[in-house]
Amino acid sequence: MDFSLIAMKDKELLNIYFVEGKKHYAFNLMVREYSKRLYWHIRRLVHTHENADDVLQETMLKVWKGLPSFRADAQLYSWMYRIATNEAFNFLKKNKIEQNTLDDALLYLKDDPYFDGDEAYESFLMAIEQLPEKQKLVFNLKYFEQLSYQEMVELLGGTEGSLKASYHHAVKKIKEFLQLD
Amino acid sequence: MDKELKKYRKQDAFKVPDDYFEDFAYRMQLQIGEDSEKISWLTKLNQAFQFRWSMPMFIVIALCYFSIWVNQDGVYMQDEDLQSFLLEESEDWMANQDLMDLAYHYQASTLEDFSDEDIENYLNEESSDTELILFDH
Repeated sequence: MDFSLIAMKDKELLNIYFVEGKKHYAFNLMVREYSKRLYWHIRRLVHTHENADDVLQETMLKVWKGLPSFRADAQLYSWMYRIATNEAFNFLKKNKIEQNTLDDALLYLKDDPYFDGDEAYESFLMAIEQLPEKQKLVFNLKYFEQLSYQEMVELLGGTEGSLKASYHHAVKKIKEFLQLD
Repeated sequence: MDKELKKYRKQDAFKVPDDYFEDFAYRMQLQIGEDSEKISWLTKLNQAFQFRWSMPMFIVIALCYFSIWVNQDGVYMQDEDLQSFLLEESEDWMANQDLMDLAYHYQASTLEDFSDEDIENYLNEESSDTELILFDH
């Protein structure tokens, strides 16, 4: 992920929205530009395609409603990423009654026609699932999206040092869960 | 990257339906289109039925009904009767109105589009229609 390119795209998109006043067109471009990246971020948190689709829709509707009051000096993608993260965690909290344990979460995952992982991969996902929210986010960004700590600061805030510590704690917990040590 | 965890990244376990992202962009456009329509419809309705617009109209119509009622029967109603009469009449009147017709009657986009003359004309039309109907009885 090249953040300087993202910043350039953000600027263009916001220009179309705010200066040219082509709001629907600008939003359509934003959806086309960022929905894929946001989808995978959400999918890693909520696991099933159906849930990820619901959360992504809610995210984009919130983006649409929030755009008029968006501050031009802020980063568009970082803002969308934070909305998506909040939506995903809220979704998980709302559905906590149905998915009380990791086993329940695994059952939901197995029912998903758009999941095709073996048992080892399922265990790996469950190991990520048991992490605290922040460690989960840091681990996903580092492990799956291969972001640098500097880039992660843009999305999550905090310092590089604290993010490094979170990642190492996450790796340790996952390895313990998978009994890899 | 930790060597023992590296192997999991090779798996492509999560799938999406064919053309999902293309369809998603299209679905979002439809959704925000519907959202905008809902807002404009509600806004127009709200504008057409602002308190200062609907109340004078209601009072004039209610007075017309009342004056005709009194003239026809030659009987003055008690306060309570008058109150319930006005309430019933206003409920009936509101229930029988086509709200969208009213909203678009003067093609008003804002309340300021109603001039005093427009309101006067509209009330005259309303009161004359009412009188005609009542005199037919």
